[in-house]
Amino acid sequence: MSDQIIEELIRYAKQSIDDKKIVEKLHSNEVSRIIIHEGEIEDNKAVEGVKIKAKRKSDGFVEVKIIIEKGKKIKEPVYMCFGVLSPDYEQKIDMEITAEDKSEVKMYAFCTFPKSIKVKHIMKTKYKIGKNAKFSYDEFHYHGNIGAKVKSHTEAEVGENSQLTTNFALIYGTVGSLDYKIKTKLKNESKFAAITRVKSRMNDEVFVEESAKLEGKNAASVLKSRLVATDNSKANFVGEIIGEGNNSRGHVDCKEIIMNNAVAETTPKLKVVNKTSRLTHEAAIGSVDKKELQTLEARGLTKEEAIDLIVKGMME
Amino acid sequence: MIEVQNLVLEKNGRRILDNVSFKTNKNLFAIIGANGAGKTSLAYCIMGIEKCSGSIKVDGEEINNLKVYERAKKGVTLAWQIPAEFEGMKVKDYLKASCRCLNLNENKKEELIERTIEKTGLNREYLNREISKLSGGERKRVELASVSLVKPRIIILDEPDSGIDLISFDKIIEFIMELSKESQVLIVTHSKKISSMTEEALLLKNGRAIKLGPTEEILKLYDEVKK
Repeated sequence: MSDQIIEELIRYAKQSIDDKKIVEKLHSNEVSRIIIHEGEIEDNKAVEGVKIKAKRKSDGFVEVKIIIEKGKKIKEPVYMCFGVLSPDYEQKIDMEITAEDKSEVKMYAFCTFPKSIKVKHIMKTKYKIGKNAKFSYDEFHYHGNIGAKVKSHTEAEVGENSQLTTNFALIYGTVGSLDYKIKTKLKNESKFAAITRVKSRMNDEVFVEESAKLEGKNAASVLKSRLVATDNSKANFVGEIIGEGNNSRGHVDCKEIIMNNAVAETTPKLKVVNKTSRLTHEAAIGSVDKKELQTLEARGLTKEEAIDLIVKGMME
Repeated sequence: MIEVQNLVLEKNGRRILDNVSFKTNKNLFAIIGANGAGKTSLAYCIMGIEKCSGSIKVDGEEINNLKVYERAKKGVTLAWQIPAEFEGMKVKDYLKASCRCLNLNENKKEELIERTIEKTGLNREYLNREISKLSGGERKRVELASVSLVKPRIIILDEPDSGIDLISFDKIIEFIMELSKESQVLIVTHSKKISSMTEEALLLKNGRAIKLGPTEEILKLYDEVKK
């Protein structure tokens, strides 16, 4: 039964990403991985340098703790899959990931709710990143044709001279409602780069908030979002950077494309409390660039085909 | 063969093109004029980017009632003076889209794309680069590769040498000469060097067609008109 579920989850996880090959390793013995279907831990394995513990708690949450051990550079990415194959289930995950000093790791998380009618996915995450570490977290969602209700809130502490990179993508299928927040605190010389890409359609509601508090000297952050809102959907992005540390640097870059009756909102919030800090932002909301559209039409693409290609490029 | 008759383009009550007519079967043809003469507007009208009255025929077939993509399918395409940036799009995806109407299998298309990009002076590695991260000159060359891949009957090049450095200039000229072997190339330019590679030219001034004739003659007239 478990293998069938895993196979099905992998099949649907492939719908969330262009490069299907990445997903194939999800159930491979070469990689550390955890697969959770609804409230059950279907698979859990860790390679040397990685510790993964998972248990179901009495409050309905599944608790996941992952540690990347000190000084370990994990060759293969760590894989995670949080899935619900039923049409109606409330999945609750409480995850803590610790990347110890001088560790390096890349993680792939696939959140797949392909048959959702009323699926809820609640995710509380904490990243604890030590000193001189590199941590990258790519999260891909697929919510089927009707959409799910997703609330994913993350808090992260990035230690001295460490790097955190996050990549959130929900491009295919229907969103439903998404409440995605990531809040980070950065120590001396640390870096945080985030990119969020979401395409909403029908009556989807999307709220994305990325926040970086540059506490340490020379801390730096780039918060980037690319949202495409079509039909009657709503998309709202907030990118917040607080410059506290000496010579801290931050940039918020948000682009939203709207089509049909969609509504988009974007708010870059910059706060400087140290005069040596420098924060910038660029934000653009509008329809598809006319010149890009006309160029592709002049190559024989219809308007719809041209828009698809432009949006695909923007989402890559 | 392209035949344009009585093109009129008005914008905000101003006449941009005033009854422009010309006909040519030459494979290298220049549309010459000073800034504001209406050269680019004429190019956009032929492509359908600007809506105008009058008639535009390609090989005897009226296209002025067609949308931009329909004109492209009839064999008309255009390279912009300043090409679009296409944020996030890779060169190969743009070029693949450009040759999607060709009756070739995917492997043949890829080979054709690789050969074409190299002819513009860029190597194959550029195919995996993002268009928006290229320099203006590099983007211009990708644009030329793109119009070539449409394999059209008519290619309109708007100021093809702008943004191109002196070293790459000859390569671009060579590329345009090659394009003209299979397509009619209409070059919008105010550059004498570019115009002089064409056989025939149309001189525009203040939205009007002043004269059509052999390029050498038209360039002399252009000098006089400028004075």
